[in-house]
Parts: sequence; C-alpha cells; structure tokens
Amino acid sequence: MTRFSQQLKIGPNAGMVVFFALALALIPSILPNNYWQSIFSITGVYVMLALGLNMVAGFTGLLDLAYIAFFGIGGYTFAFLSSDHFGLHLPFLLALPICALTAGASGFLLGLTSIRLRGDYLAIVTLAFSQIFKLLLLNLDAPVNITGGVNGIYGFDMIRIFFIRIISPENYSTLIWTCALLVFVVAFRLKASRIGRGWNAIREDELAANTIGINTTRMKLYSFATGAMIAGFAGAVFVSFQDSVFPNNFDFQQLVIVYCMVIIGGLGNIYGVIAGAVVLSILPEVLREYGGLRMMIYGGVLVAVMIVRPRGLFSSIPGLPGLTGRVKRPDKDETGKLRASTDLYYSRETKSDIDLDKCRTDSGSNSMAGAGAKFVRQNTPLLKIKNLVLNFGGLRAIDDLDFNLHTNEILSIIGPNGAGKSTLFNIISGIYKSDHGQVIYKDMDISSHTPHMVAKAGIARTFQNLRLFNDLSVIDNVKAGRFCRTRAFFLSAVLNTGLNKREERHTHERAKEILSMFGKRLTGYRYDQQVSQLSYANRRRVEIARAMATDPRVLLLDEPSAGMNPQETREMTAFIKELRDRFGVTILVIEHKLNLVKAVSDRVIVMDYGRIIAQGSYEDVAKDPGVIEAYLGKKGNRGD
Amino acid sequence: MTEPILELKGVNACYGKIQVLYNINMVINRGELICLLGGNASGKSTTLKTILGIVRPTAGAVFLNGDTISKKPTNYIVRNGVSIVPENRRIFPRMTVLENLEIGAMHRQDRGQVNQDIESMFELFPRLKTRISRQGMVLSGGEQQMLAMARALLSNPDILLMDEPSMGLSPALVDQQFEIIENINKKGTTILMVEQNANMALSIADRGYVLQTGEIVLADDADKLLNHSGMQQAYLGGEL
Amino acid sequence: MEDIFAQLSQQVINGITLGGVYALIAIGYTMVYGVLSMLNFAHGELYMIGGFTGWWVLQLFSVNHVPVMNAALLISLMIILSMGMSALLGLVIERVAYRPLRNAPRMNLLLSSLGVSIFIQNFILYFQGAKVKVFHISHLIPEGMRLFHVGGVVVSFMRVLVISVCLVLMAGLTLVIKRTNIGKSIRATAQDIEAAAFMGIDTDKIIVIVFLIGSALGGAAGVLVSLLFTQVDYYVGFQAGLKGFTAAVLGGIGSIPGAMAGGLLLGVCEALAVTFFPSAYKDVVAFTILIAVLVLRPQGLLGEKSRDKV
Repeated sequence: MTRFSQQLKIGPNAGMVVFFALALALIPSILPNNYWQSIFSITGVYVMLALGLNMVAGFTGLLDLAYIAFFGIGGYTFAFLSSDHFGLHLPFLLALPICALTAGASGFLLGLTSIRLRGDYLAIVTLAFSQIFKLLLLNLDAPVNITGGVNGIYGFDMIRIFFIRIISPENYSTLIWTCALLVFVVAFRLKASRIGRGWNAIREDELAANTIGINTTRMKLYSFATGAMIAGFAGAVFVSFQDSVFPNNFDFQQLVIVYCMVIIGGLGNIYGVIAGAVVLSILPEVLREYGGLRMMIYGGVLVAVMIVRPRGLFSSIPGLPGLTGRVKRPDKDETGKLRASTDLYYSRETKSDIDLDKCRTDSGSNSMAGAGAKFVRQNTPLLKIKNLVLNFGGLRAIDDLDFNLHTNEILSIIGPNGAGKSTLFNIISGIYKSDHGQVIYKDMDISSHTPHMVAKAGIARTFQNLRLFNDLSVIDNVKAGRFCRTRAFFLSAVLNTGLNKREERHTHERAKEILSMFGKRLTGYRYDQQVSQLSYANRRRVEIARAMATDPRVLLLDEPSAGMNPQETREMTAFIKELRDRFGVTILVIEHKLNLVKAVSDRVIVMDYGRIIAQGSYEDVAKDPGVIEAYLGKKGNRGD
Repeated sequence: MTEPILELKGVNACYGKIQVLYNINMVINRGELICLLGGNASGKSTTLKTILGIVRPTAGAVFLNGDTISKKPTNYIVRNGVSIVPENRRIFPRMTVLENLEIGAMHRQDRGQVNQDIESMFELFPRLKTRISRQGMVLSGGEQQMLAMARALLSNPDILLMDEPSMGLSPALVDQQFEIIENINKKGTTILMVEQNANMALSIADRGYVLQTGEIVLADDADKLLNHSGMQQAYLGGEL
Repeated sequence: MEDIFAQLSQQVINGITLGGVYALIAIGYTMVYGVLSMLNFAHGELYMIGGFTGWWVLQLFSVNHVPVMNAALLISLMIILSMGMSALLGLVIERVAYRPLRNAPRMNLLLSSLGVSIFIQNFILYFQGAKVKVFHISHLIPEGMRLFHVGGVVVSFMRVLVISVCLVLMAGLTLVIKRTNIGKSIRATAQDIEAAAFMGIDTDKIIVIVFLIGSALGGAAGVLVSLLFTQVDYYVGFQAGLKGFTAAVLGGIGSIPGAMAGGLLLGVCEALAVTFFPSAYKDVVAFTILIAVLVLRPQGLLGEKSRDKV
C-alpha cells in the first residue's frame, strides 16, 4: 500500500535539485570558454521562460501568445529602472521584483479584457497584443525617447547584491541559475498545490471545474498573470546579462522557440519542459552550420510533435525520474477488452469486501435504514424551486416548475428524455439562467449565482454524460473537489506555510476517505490511475466522489446508474441511500431505472414537457395513469 | 417479403477503449418497420452510428443489400441507400426550408425527378410549404421534425433510420408523428426507429429489438414485446 | 476644405483597395473556421507564397525587367499561377498537418498550424533570402494608363486592378456558394458537419475544397498586394495574416459576407487612421480594433450569438 500516493509530494524531486546544484556549482568551471559560458547562462534564462510558459499553456491550457511581450516588459522595465536612460539607478534586488510585478500587472490587465474568450480567440488577442507591444517598442523613440526605438537601450548599472558584485560571466551564470532554481521551486510548489490542481482542472474541463467551485475566470487570470510575472522576471535577468535590450529580443520567433521547448518537453510536465529548454538551447549551438534551417526545423518539429507525441518527446522515457508516464493498469474483461459496465478485473477481490447490507436494498431497505441511519428526512425545505421558466428558442424547456427539496430528503425526478430534467439541474447549478422564477437555497436566492458560487454554497452535482478531468488521476480528480473548501493561496503554496501543509494533508486524507466509500473499488493503485483508464461505472463513482469532496449539503445526481449493469446498479442504490443515511446529504436524483428510484426515494417527481405531471411517494406515482403514459407512451396497451 | 436490406452480424463497437456494443445481430427486411428500444446508455444510438459508419465495428460486420459497409465512409453509406432523421433533427439552421430539402436530394442521379418529389413532400407535410423560404432555425420543433423527415426521404433511401423521433415534441405532435411514420412505412419505406416511447413505438412496429448495456436482450414481434413480462425490466432497468 | 475632402476620398480609395485584399484573406480564415472550427495560423503564409509565386513568374517571363509577353497576359498568368500555387500548398498543409489532428484537442491543432506557419516562413527565408524581392513592373503598364484622375483623386492602374480582381473573385465566390451544389455542400458542412455527412456529402472532400478556395484567394491577395507595392519578402504573411484575421473577426468569423464587409471596413479604418496618426501606428490601430471587437463583441459585427449547450 505504501507505494500509492501515501506520501504527499510538495517538495521537488531530489534528482532535480542535484541537477540544479551541479549546474550551479560545477558546469561553469568546466566550460571551455566565454562563449559556452554565455550559452550556459542563456540556457538558464530559457529554463525560466519555459517553466513560466508551462504554467500558462501547460497547467491551465491557455494559448498565451503575448508571453514574449511580458518577457519584454520585464526587460524594458529593468532598462528604465537601472540605467542612465531615465537616470534611475535602483539596486538590482529592488528592480528585479518591480520588473516581475510590472509584467505580472500587465498580464493581469490584458487578461482582464480577454480571459473570458474562447481558447483560439485568446490566442489572437494575445498575438495582437504582442504585435502592438513590438510596434510601440520600435516607434516610441519619438517625439519623446522612451524605448530607444530600434537601437534599444544599453549600458546598465553594475549589479551589486549586498556586497557581491556580479561582473564575470561565471557570476552571471550563477545568478541566472539561482533564479532558475527559484522559478523551478515556485513551479513545482504551485503544481503540487490546490492552485495547480485548480489550473489542471480548468485545462481538462472548464465547465466541470466551475461546477466544483473553482472560479475559473479568476484562476485563469491568475495563471495568465503568474506566467507574465515569471516572464518579466526572466526578462529582467536576461537584459541585465545582455547589458542591453532591443525590440528584436522579443520577436515572434523567440516565442516559438519557447513554445517548442515546452511542447517537446510535454505540456505541464515540469521536468520534461526543463529538458526541452536545455536541449533546444544547446542543440542549435552543436548544429551551428545548419543555423539557417533552425527555425524551419522548429516549425516542423512543432507539427510533428503535435501529431505523433502530443504529450511531448520526454513523456515516457523509462528510467528518468519524473519523466516517466504513470503505469497504466486498465481494467479489462477476459477477452482483453475494457468493458463499459463491469469491473471484472477487480471484482474477485472486492466482492467479499463489499458490505452485504448494501446489496440487499430491495428486500431489506427498511431494516438497513433503521440500523445505520443517522439522518432521516426532515420537514423543512432546504432548496425551493419557485415558478421556474426557461425557453430554448421556441421550445419551453422548463415551464413554471415549482417544488421544494427538504432537508435530508432523497427526491427522485423521473420522466421521459427531453422532459427538462437535466435542464433543471443546469439551472440549479448556475449553468443556465432561468427566464423567470427563483432557486432559493437556505433562504438565499441563488438564481443568479455562477456555478462555482453554487458549489461553494453547498450544492454539488454530477453530469449525465460524465465530465471528469480525464488526464488527471483518480485522487487528483477528488482533490480538485476540495478546492473550494481550502484557502492556501500563492504565497502560502510557494512558501509551503503551515496552512498549506495542514490543508494538503487534510485534502489528501479526505480524498482517500471519500474514495474509500466505494469499498476497495477506487483505492490502492487506483488512486494514481488516470480516470480515462477506468471503467464506465468507476468513472461514475469518481464523479460522485469529486462532488462529495466539495462537502455538499445538497447533491444533484444526473442518472448515477446509467450504463451500469444490474449488480452495479444495486450497489449504487445502496450507496445513494448511505450518502443520506450516514452522511446527511440531501439528494436530488434524476434516474430512469425505476427499481433504483423505488428503493431510494422519499418522494418522486414526474416531469414531462418541463412541467411536473405527478408527485408523491413512489407507489402513488407509479399508479398514476398519466405517469405511465408519459413514461411508456400512450396507446399503452393497444390490446386492451 | 423477406428480402434483407440491412444486416448486423456479430457487431462489437467501442468508444476509445470502452466497449459499448456486444455481438449485435439484427436483420431488417424490405418494407419492415423495426424499433430498437432500451434505456439510456444502452447502445441504441451507437448502433445507429455503427450502421452509418461513424463508429466502426471492432468485430462483426454491417451489410447493406448484401454488401458489407463496415469500412465505408458515412457519405458512401448514405449515397447507397441509408438515410437518417437524426436525434435533435439537425436541420441546417442558416438555410431555408427549400435548401434543406434540396441538400437531402443532392446526391441523387435522377435530377429531373427531384422537384416532383419535393412537391410530394409538400403534400405529405403541407405545413412545410408555407415555410418554404424561412430559415431552418426559426422553425418550431414540430416543423423541424417534419423537415428532417422530408429531407431524409428525399434521398430515396432503401432504409430510413430514425433516432428518437418523438423527443421534445408536444403530446399532440407525438401522436401525429407516429401516424406519419406509420404512413411512410405503409407507402413502402423500410424503417429502423430508435425510440424512448416504447409502447407507442411498438404499437406501430412490426418487430422490435431491446438493448441493455450494449447487448440485445429481447428480440421479437412487436405484439409479443408489448405484452412481454421482461420488457419493462429490460427497458427501465427493473420491474415497475 | 476641398483639400481635406480630396485627401479623405484618396484615403478611402486606398482603404478600399487594401480592404478588398483583407477581405480575400479573411475569406480563407472564415471558411476554414467554418468547417473545422480552427484558426489556420498558416493562412498568412499562403498569402506570402502567392506574392512570391507572382515574383517568380515575373522573373521567368522577363528579360532585363522587360516582359517577354503581352502585359495583360503576364499579369493574368501571375495571378492564376499564384492562386494555383497557394491552393496546392493549402492542400498539402491540410493533408499533412491538420487531417491527422482532426479529433485532437483544439490547442494541438492551433499549435500545429503555428508550426506550419513558422516552417513555411523560414523555408522561404532559407531558400530565397531575407532581401525584399522587387517587382519591376514599369514596363508592364502602358504610359498613359498608370494614373487615373477622378475629380481631385488620383487612382493608379494597380489600384484599379486590385479592386476589380477582388470584386470579381468575391462575386465569383458568392455565386459558387449560393448557387452550386458544391457551395451548398460547403454551407451545410460549415453549419453542421455531421448532418452534412448524413446527407451523403463527402465532408472530407468539402474540407479539401474549402482549403483549396481559401488558399487560392489568399494567394491572389498576396500577388495583388505585391504588385501594388511592387515588393514581397518572406515576412509579409505574418502581418497580412493578422489583418485578414482581424477582418474575419470584425465581420463575425464563419460568415463569408461578414469577412468581405469586415475586410473593407478594416481597410478603410486603417487608411483613415493614417490621416490622423503617424503611419507607423497604422497597425497599432488595426490590432487595437481587433482586441476591442473580440472583447466587446466576440461574435463580430455581423455574427450571431450562440448559446453553448451542455
């Protein structure tokens, strides 16, 4: 068991620290000449740049084409603050953070305008921004000389860090690689933190991320600004090393080079990206005689990697720590095929472990509810749906819907496809805005809440067609659900403060605890398995676990047993009851399988054409002729 | 009467690595009206997608008029006699009713006949004629359904697939819809229909297949299925 | 007062010339976006290749800058071959770099097109050098036809040529799209690619045709601008591509009439901006318009807002 995610990884991998230490200590002294010394330094700059871009494009999946402009903003800010150009001579240790913050703030402002745009539009806005930036650099030398035009700015103050003077190339490379180490630690800590998980969730499925309580707009903005800040930081370090700054340092080609580094390394893969940066910094020097072909090759490589290895060249080289992909153990049936609705791979071990009570719901539901139940249905409304109306074009999807969900109740909604059931969930969870009416939760009108606010308020949901973070592991999917119940922010995550440590430990424990609610189906090696490798039924379970991780009072389950076989359906039935009985969750469930509905429901609502056509106990509803007609169709028994 | 038009023999199908269809065997003969029933995620739509070549069978094969079409692209399959009224109708929103109809008939060789056939569609669906130059997106749900059916029929199919024709229609329109389907069938069009509205579908169908988690669990004449005790269980995942 | 009016008219004429070219480029973006929902970053390079092809043709059929054939024939040949070359390249790009990624995440497709763009640009840089290629066309146009005076406005022959070719191409495209089966198939594919396949349309073929048309128009734009400014270099595609994209967004991406209108609007805006700002800021104005439109009205001036279904 100890192999599986038992330890929390917050600190960087030891091998990587050794790499940086070696780079810092040994490499400068073995380099043959100043030329290679400078390549070594530039490599450090590219490592920083690639790590920063990786946070935006890799972690969060934003195609940021203004990245190189932020690099430039950092560089020019340094030139302004630390040269004769404006006569400002700030000390290096003061100028450096200002440069980073200026670039970060620029990123924040640009992001404010455009972060809501879809991916490719964001790419274009940022590309346009970087063009404007370059044009301004070239032209803002008249009437007042601000940028120095095409000649740039040169001759900066000598760097003095306390009493150390940075003069020799060795000094510079040490400085640069120290900064790179710093960026590496920041990248690693952020990736391992709730912030990194939030970013990854957005990359995988923005809507789902929103519905588990992640303010996606804001987190994207932070990601964008963080990347800009690191670019600005790298920019300041770079120009101080170059002792000059020109518009051409920040042209589109540079951006493409950094993108190639990140993509070859594998988007999101920190070690891969560092390897990508190192290789692409040194390779061109080795292949100098083909210099003219360099950019052409980069372009070709970009296309080839996207087609052949979209996860990067270094995604699965065995033996390299951290570079290896996860061991995948998909569950298969005897024929070697993954089966949609069974867990044969696991069932032999698990069946005996599953609480037998759970499988006996049909016959023994009463006794079970009596035995383990801590919570029973109250008579106080927790969620009130008031006169809800929603039109899609000409179609009235929700038509004056009005009902209450009581505390600790399990209320089922049944009805034919297209009756408006999922649409109702989308309104409650804030994805759609109703045309009329209100959703009241604990006396609070949440009709105009965005999805993440709804989740934060205590209403979680699952989706009919599953919206998991497919490339993330099982446990990371669940941990992402803890986002809205944790607070550790950037500084806390980067410095790994007590708050961060406590929260991370708790998040980890809580995620395991929630996953253990499904017996052994999702424990052990499954923690680290990618959810895309799971069976359909297990993915449904992970989605419920993710919703449960947000500590909901109300859980909206959209066809939790769809695609499950009868055995799994019985388990799910027991599980839904247990969620209420033992954990006190109030549940609104859409379901087609009537034996499940019968076993779990305190009350049943039947919907058709966006309206309630019957409600009451299952027995009452099942007898209602209107219901039978709506569900099985009219002309029910032609023979009669 | 028993001239098979469409046959599925031992078809398995997967989405990525997840298998969703297991050993599907079906025969649809000329002139029949067959319905394919089952709960959500039971594989009904996937079966249609496999027939249309959108999902490729990983085992078994699909035969159209005796020739295998398992490896053919969708457009080939459509050109050779399979037509579909898709789920949610999929009307081209920024084309007029007439343009939508013309697209349905576009691949036909007998161009001279098309205009006449469009006229006969207007006889079948008089309402469409009054909307002839309106854009697809402004039509009501019922009108869109009529347009989708007319569009599919205009390709002169050997077999017409219908995916949830009653979905999202008001009760009055559902009745009308099934009447029209029955009519079209009586005029000689072979139909395979996926439908939630089981009783209604069975009441007009000749035979039915019932799917559950990707397998055919029941296959019989419609009359027998209507009164079959296992029907509700298979369809609703449990006894009422 | 009269002066200002003349100056403005002059700028509007210049704007329409460039606007027509932007429209041609924008059509390529918008059509590809329509069928594949992707931004073809490499589209600007097809424009550049169009310009270069024109120059190669001109070189091939000139001795000491004097054309060896009828001038009208040569200009037509330049335009036609440029369109052909760009179309061919568009096909290759679609086949090699985009089709394998049809089902991949959009970001991969975008990055792939970025890679294609870099590749072509640097391919030309490597084999043709960075130096600007000059079009020596002084012998192409008869003395009396170089400039036309309309009121106080001077219009060069090349501007007339550019505007008329743009008009002809756009009118031709409109006819194809509205009237022919191919055009209907393109519209159907753009509106709902799966439903189009249900209608028996070979959507793969339609995507190829869309790349063909879009790339050819891009190539035409490239050679026309090169003739107008009598020069071309390896880097022109980048800026032109961004302009064309701006035009497409302005008109609402996915809409062909929108792309035409957006192109003309952008051209005129830019030309007018030159009267008020130093000309170096012309592009700043264009890109600011782009950002403003995307932020304030992402569906474009003529586009419709769509509601994403969950």
